[in-house]
Parts: sequence; structure tokens; C-alpha cells
Amino acid sequence: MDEMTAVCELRADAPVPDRARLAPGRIRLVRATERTSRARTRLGRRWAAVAAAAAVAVVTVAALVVPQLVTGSGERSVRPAAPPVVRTDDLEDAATVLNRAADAVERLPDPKPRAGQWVYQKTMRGHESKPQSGPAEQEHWYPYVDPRFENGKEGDDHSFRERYELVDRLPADPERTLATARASYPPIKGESRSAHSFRASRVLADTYPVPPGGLARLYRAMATIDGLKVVDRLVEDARGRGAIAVYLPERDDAFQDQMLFDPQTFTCVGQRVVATKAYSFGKADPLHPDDTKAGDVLINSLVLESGLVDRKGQRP
Amino acid sequence: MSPPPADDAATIEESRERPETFAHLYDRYAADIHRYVARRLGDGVADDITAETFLAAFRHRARFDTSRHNARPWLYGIAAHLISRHRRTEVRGLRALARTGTDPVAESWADRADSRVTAQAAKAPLAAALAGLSPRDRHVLLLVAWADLTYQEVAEALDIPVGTVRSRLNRARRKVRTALGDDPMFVNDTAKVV
Repeated sequence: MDEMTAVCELRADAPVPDRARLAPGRIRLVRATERTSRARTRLGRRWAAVAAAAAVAVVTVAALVVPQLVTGSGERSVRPAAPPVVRTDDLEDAATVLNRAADAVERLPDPKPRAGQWVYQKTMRGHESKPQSGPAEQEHWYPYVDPRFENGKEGDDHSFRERYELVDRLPADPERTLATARASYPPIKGESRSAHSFRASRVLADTYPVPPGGLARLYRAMATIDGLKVVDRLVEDARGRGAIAVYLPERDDAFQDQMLFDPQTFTCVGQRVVATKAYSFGKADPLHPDDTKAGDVLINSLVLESGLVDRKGQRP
Repeated sequence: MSPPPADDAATIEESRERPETFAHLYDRYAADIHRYVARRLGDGVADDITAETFLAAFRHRARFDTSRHNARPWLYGIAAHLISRHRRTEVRGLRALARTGTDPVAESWADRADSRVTAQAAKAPLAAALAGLSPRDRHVLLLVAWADLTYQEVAEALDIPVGTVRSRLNRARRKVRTALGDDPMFVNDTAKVV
């Protein structure tokens, strides 16, 4: 055996990842490509939505996972007052859910992020129709201030600081708030005004750190979006717990983006993408999921933990 | 949906007008890059580094020299750059293997009870030698040995002259050969010829 053979044999049993393992990375890439191209095919548009849900799903919950929230100095934040216990069968319309979510989030402390801090997030996916072979939980660190994603350098992909400041500036007037959200995330061709408002608001709400007052104003503005519905039963979030699902039904839409809320605390507990009808992705793109049927949960994700830390790699 | 163009340069050219076509490169090479990263740093970080490799490639696609038809070396070069940020982790893993005979990197994908992991004890001298290489020499050696790149492709990946690839590879091989000379499992080719 020569030395090159010895090197070649070291760790030669490293596995080749399957396509399910690679799919989240592909979604991240597709999301980046979609941001630079507004001339999308219908399939492309849908996968942009799927990708957006996968990449940032969750975030609304970030500000609400209070026990884990800490400041950069390591000081643990306080819990909000316990929200009122409600009967889930009282929840018949989306506006009620969103207004209660606004009431709940308003009580949270402002994380008061500072330049130089890192945003820590621990995300998970689960309870999807097709099992993931990759890790269910992942940890991420992002710089709070990232000039690469500011001042429009990456289109509508804003840094965490820009998103925090944008939410902080949202006005109390729901119409103006929705207009701000739509202006921050341009429309997709063929998208209705309500769908645009719902999508842009979800992306904006899906951030951490977030000023609680601004997020409450955003939720109250979302409550005014025409056509929002609530699934008539509790659905499973990524942990398998019951959740209220708010969505916007759109005719001929093969996929439905749902925003999930805890039925007791009204904190956001992630997002789901659910197939509304049978759909074939064709065989030309081997990394897309196999054909789906109505009711399939394609993505079910949430942020388990978020916080501001002083160094990359540090946990709250 | 039309099938992806077979030529990487054409795909990248097309992605300037239709960015979404860049995903075809992911379909072609993500599995290779992922396995290479896992082999160097462990399974746990391979997802992120693979994704980051392709995101960086997409953002800098205008820099790709489209006279080169194959994007594989370019992607390995980006991955190598990202791996460099974890240099201490990599060296720590190799030293652990050298010291204990148990490979923390292989453990990341194998069951702890798997005999393949414990069999890595025989690789301890090799691991020590790899840990002792300079990062630049280690990149060249492992791109040749694990990524199956040619000298020319390594030169493209790391943006260095082919002559530099040869000298770095020769130096790395010599150091590894010397380290393995003390290993009873290792029989030098030169000795066999003689």
C-alpha cells in the first residue's frame, strides 16, 4: 500500500447523502435564485413560497419562545403574564386568532439587539408527510448587522437589523402597515392583493429579534386581510402538538401556506405548507418531492429557540 | 420542464438570465460536495457547508470562467475555502484519531458500536501526519485523494499554478510517507519494487 492509497482509504465509508438530506440546501439555493428573478414559472413561484416557509418559517415564534430569550449579556428575559385560557371552539375566524396573538406578543420584552451580536436559532422540522432523512433539528448563527443584506444589495433579502427596524417603524394604521409589508416584499406575478399582503406579512413577522409592539401592530393589520380562514380543527405543529392554522384559500392553488398558533397562548408555533390537491412535479427535477396528494404536509417547521449572543457558536 | 444543459458553463451562462437554472448545478454536484465535507469535518456540518458553497457560488457566478466547461473544481474550491474556516476543528478531529484510535469524524455517520470506527485505530499514524500538514498542503492532498480532482482541476479550484499543486502534493505525500514508515501496516511501494 502506498501513501496515497492509505489516504484514499481513510473515512472511505463516508455516506453519500440521499436527495431528502440535500433538499433543504436546495431549497435555500432556490430561494436565493428566486429573489433575483421575478419571471417565474408557476412551479417556481410555488417553490419560492415553500422555500420561504422552510427557511424562515418559524420566526414569529422566535420572539415568543420566551423562556429561551436572553439578552446578549446573558441576562435572561422575563416571562410575559400568562395569557387567558380560551376554548379552541371559540376560534372561528382568523381575525380573532391574530388579534389574540397581538395581545399576547405585546406583553413580551423588547430584545433590544445591538450591532455586533449574533442571532442564534435552533429550528426543527417534523410531522411531515414524507419523512426527512436529515437532522430534524438544526442550529444557526447569523450576524445581526450584515451589510451584505442591507440597502437592497440582496433585493428583498434584508438583514436582521433591517427587519427589526422595519417592524419597529410599522404604523398603527393596518392599511399602511400592510402597504409597508407589501413594499418590502414585491408581488409575484398573478398574486392577488390579499395573497401578497399575507405572504409579505408572514415573512416580516417571521423574524427575530423583533420589537413586540411592531409585531403586535403587524398581527392586527394581518387580521384585516380579506379572505383569511382558520382550519376547522387543530392541526399538528412540527412537534406534533395541536395548533390553530390560519391560511388564505386561493382558487387553483396547489399549495397552502399556513401560519400556526398555540391554542392556549396564541404564540406562533411555526408554519406549514400543505398540498390542496394532487400534484405532479414531473421527473425532470429529481430533487423535488415525488407526486403529492391532497392533504400532504410538505413542510412543517418552527423555531425551538432563539436568542442574541455575543459570538458565533455561543448558545443563549 | 426542459432537461438541464449538460455543460456547466452553459448552465451558469443561462442562470444570468434565468437564475433558477443554477439549481441544476446543485443537482449535479451537491452529493459529492456534501460527502467531501462530511469526510473532512463530520456529518453534522456538511449540510450547512454544502448549502453555503452553492449559495456563494450563485452569488459569485459572474466570476466563473465560462471557458471552463466543468464547474466541479470551482465548487470544490469554494467548499475548501469554507472548510478552512473550520481548520481547528479538522485538526482536532485528526489528532483525536491519532491519540485515541477513535475517529470522531467517522463517528458522526457511523454507529458508535460499529467496528469500522474502532478499526480506525490502524489509521492513527496517518491521521497524525494529516494533522501535521499545512492547511494548503492538506487541501491539495485531499482534493486529489478524496475529490478525485486532477492536478489541473486542483489548480483551478484553489486558483494556483499547476506547478504549485505538484510541489504541494509532493511535499504532503513525502510527509505522510515518512509518518507511515513507522507503521507496520504500511509497505512502501519503493520497497516492494526493490
